[in-house]
Amino acid sequence: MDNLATLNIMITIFAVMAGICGIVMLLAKQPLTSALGLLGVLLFTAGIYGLIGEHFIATIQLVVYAGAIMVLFIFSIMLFNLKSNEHDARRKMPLLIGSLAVAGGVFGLLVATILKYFETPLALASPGSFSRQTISDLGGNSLVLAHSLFTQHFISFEAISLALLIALVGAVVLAKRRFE
Amino acid sequence: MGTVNVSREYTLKEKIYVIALFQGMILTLKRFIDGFFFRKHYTIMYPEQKRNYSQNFRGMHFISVDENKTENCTACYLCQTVCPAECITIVAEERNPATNSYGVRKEKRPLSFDIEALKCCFCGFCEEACPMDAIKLSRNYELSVTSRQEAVYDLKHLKREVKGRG
Amino acid sequence: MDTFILIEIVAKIVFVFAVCLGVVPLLVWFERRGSAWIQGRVGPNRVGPFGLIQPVADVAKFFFKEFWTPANANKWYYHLAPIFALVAPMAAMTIIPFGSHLVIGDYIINLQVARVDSGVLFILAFAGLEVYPIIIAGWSSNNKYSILGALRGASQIISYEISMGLALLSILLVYGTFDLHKMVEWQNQRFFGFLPAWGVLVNPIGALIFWVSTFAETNRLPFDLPEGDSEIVAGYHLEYGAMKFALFFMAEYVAMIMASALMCTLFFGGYNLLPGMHALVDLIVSVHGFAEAGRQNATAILQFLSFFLKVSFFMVVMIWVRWTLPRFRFDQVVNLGWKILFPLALCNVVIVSIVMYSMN
Repeated sequence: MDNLATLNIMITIFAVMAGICGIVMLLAKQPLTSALGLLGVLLFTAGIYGLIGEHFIATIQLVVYAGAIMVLFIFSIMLFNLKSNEHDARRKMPLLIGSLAVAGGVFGLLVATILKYFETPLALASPGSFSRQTISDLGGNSLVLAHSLFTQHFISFEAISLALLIALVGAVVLAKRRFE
Repeated sequence: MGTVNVSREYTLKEKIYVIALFQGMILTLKRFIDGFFFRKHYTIMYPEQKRNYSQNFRGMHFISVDENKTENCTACYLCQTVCPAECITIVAEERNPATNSYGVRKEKRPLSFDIEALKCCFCGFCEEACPMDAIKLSRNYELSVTSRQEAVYDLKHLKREVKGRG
Repeated sequence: MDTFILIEIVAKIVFVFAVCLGVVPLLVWFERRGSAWIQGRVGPNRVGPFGLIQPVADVAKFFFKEFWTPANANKWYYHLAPIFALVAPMAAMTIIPFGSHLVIGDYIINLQVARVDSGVLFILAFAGLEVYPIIIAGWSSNNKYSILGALRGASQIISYEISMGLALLSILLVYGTFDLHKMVEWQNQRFFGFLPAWGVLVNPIGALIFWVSTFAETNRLPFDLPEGDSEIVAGYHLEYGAMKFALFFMAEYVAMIMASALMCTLFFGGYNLLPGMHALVDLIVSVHGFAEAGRQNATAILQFLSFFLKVSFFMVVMIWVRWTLPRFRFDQVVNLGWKILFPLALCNVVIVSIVMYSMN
């Protein structure tokens, strides 16, 4: 129980840090600060995944989002040397209130769901065929995930990668037309 | 004529690059072994060893003295006049006739003789102009000082017995 | 949490970090002294015996230099970058196994700080993070040369990460696991009874591609375009002085240690004993009359020793290559990355997967 309490404290710290980074991302004037704020959110989320024992998800979060996508963002920000745009920075009141309401609603829903299960021990909160014990018996997180990806969910996995490829080609086509 | 462009086709061996890489690495390994085991180096360990400069090397000036430790300089101003950098400043004085055992030969003496080494270009004109062979250029090249003031050498610093050249 | 486990974890972390940071000054010394030997010079030889105290003197100098920030730099990011630079490779060091296990009483101590399920991916993740300090430092310094260095560094690291990942993939196909411990155990078997089954013998092309990409990832000399002293002065860390520069400097060497340790673990048998060391273990056990636990402990210590020797060899090779090869031009770097290493790595993956499939 002592162990679990420490874990809870750590997760709370990471979550608060992630939240602060998110606020920084939203309110920053410089584009690079925004991008680094998002990077902070991704890093702390990966930290939370790691803390609850899902090392694979944490690693993938770091590899894909922090290591690839955010680098691309920051690289393009730097390459085009984007400066803060005073025009866009001016807040439009009705839009702000509307978006705040939507975000608040989603956040409230999330908080309600989490609080419902907050006191339940971890093992009970995650029922289903893959409990922690079965996973470690089968040979680790990544092995189980790989097996289910390449056997059970093979078709959907390939379909998603095809969709990503289509999006990539579409982006190239659009960009090409615009520059010519 | 202009530039001639020579097309250079790489052979397969050159294209692979790895072979050349290993050749280069073997070369540096040989050099490493030379340096590590046989202590082969071209460095002069400066404060202990010094580079052997030519006999004609022109370094810092000195003023030669005779057997009585009296400077040979008679304050004739020839060196000050010929100096292209105007770094020599002489103030002349009559030598006390009572104690002057040299007679006419050394009637005058320099009261002060300053050389600003920072202005000097070490051309050696002063040495050539001197009728008494008093001012000479030594082979001393270690002239570092910690302030501008120290780079002004006066008579006391310059006076020195001649031991060959250098 | 058990007190013993807590002490064990802390001790392992301290040990790994102490070894890493302790090796850095030695490496700096060897870099300077070795380059001097190669070039027919003498190198630093005044401070201490053989100049061994020179790095300490350097650090003292760094400490007493003025902490200076450029006027138009972005202060936050300017100070953040060197910290980030050192943290990323240090974090990756935590999952390198440096021995099998020690036995103390009833406890078995795994000689690896964090046994992460997805070991290799974890390293890849932190290798990916190594690009941030370069970008942030270059951007925040507000200097043309810095930003040129940052752009070069970012594009170079991103390009070579692909061939590095593919080389990793080809060797992962052989081992069939992400766990570095299991990989090392796989390499413990022998071919034909005498040849150690090191990854480099199974997959030499993968090893070569990985090693070349590692050079690009750590910005070592044939690929040190982000620094490029003769073109862009010092690249991304041009505006850094005193301890902030020292952090970048240290980060470069820690990244070097990390890359060498990874190369050793994946392709050169990891902590497996060097050929001939088994006899040494037998000798020690017979002299001291150790039981099973003592034998295991002696083996583990010798395993750490052989791991250390192997890693040192790769670090020496890195320094050796640095003083052999000149810097590539940028188009050559990009050509090598995208036109040679990438297709080669892809072909290698296909060949290895065909071989592995037909063998099963």
